[in-house]
Amino acid sequence: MESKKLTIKRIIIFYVLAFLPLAVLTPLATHYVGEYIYASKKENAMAIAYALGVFGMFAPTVANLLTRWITKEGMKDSYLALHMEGNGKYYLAAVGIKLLEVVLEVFLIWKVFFGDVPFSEMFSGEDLSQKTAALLLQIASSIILFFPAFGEEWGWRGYLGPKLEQVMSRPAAIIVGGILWGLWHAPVTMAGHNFGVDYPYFPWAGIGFMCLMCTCFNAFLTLLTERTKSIYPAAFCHMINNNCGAGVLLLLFASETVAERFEGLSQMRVSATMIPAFLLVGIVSFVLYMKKTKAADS
Amino acid sequence: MRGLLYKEFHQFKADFYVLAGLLAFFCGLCITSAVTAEAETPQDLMMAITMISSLIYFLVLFLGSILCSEFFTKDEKRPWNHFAMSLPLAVKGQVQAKYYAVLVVHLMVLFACFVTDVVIVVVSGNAQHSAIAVGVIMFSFRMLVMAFEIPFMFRFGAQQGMNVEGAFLTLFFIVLIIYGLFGDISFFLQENVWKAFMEWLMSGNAIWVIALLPYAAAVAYYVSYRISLKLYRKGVESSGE
Repeated sequence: MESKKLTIKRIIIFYVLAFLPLAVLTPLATHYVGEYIYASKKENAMAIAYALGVFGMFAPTVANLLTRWITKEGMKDSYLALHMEGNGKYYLAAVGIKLLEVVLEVFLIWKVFFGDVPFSEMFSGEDLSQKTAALLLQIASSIILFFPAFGEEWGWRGYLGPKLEQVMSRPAAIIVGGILWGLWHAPVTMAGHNFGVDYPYFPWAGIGFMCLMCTCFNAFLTLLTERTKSIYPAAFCHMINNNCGAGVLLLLFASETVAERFEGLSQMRVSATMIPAFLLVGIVSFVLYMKKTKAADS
Repeated sequence: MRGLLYKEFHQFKADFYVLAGLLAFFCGLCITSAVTAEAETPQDLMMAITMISSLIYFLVLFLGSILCSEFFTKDEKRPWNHFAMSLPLAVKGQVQAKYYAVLVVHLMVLFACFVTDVVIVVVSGNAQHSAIAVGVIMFSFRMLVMAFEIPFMFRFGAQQGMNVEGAFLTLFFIVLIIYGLFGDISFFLQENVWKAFMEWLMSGNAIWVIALLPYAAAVAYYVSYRISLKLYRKGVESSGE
């Protein structure tokens, strides 16, 4: 068992290395474009924002590798094995539960913003069959192209999470891990990512909100990772969250009028509407994680 | 399992370098083409870049599949096969290692395509560019073909397994030639065949086939693995006879 001091040192090195790329590149990109890159409608700004997002997601993986190398830790407890045998239910849950959460989020958005439109007509249209096929393709593509999510998961759940558990209690590790993960998004949140720039208390409310969302999501992803001792279910779930979230579904697959109205809504208000869904999954995962941990301990 | 995978990739080292070199060359070519491409309208330019990227993604995934046959040929020695069956992981471990190794190589190639796609977005300054969806379809198609090929490789050897793909491709081209001779080829005589092809691809006629392809490939790959488990021993016993 490594000493607590060494573990804290590793956590600090890891976090600094994971945080630096986005903290340096996002302001530079914003300066280059001349406006908030994630809120900009300029073609080149959107291209840079996309690339920054994708490559930025690999920062935690690079930080994981560099920390192991700097502190001479080696590759033990890497969480890289698949461990599918006996864990199929967790792999299914990674995708299934996330999709159910997305359905709940869409329902909440409908209830708050589109109450005047019958729910059955949210996704209606002549091309419903094509949309259904496109959605299936979107889900499959998210799982196959899991690389960016792998980039984050191998850092947060595959390295930081287990390290935090060595220096604090498990509930604290989930909360602190979630907050650290949320703060890691701060540079892009300050550039308009996820919530835009036109909300009260910008960007602090966005950063705080991101920390809350990340803490809830962290509970579910940690549950998946710890049960399977593998980061892949979490990576698949993360990718479904990014590519098939409620916002993406409404923009790509909703009926024309709903999609147009949705585009005009404040991103922060939409995110706030989805809080009950995040909280539900987060709290249930947290309870399940603690329950099984207690059973294992006793 | 970790040891077996280590063995697979250690043996694959030389081929891995070849694959890495080919990937660097073709992905570099793809990015260079995206930078230097010219067209009358931005839409045409985007179409041209997507077409080049798609063709290169198809090519590199195909090359990856070809190199994967090395996982099988290197094991086709009687002493190794018989020794392998006596290992604690036995047949299941051997077969699993091969399926994982083939999947990992294809994912590595797809990853290279993905990075190429993101770099193209940056260098072309076009946020709408995305040919990686084509990469995903090609990947699924290659995995489907491998799912058919691998059991033959286990049962009759790598050469016979590859012959299955050869036969499949020959049949495909024969059908294509016959269609070219007697069928309706007006589709191929259009001014912009690629644009028409992409439109057809996203039309109601084709999208369900494409959407279900990744799921079919996943199921086929698993079924193929189960079949290979049954065939492995027979293949080993008949090898070298």
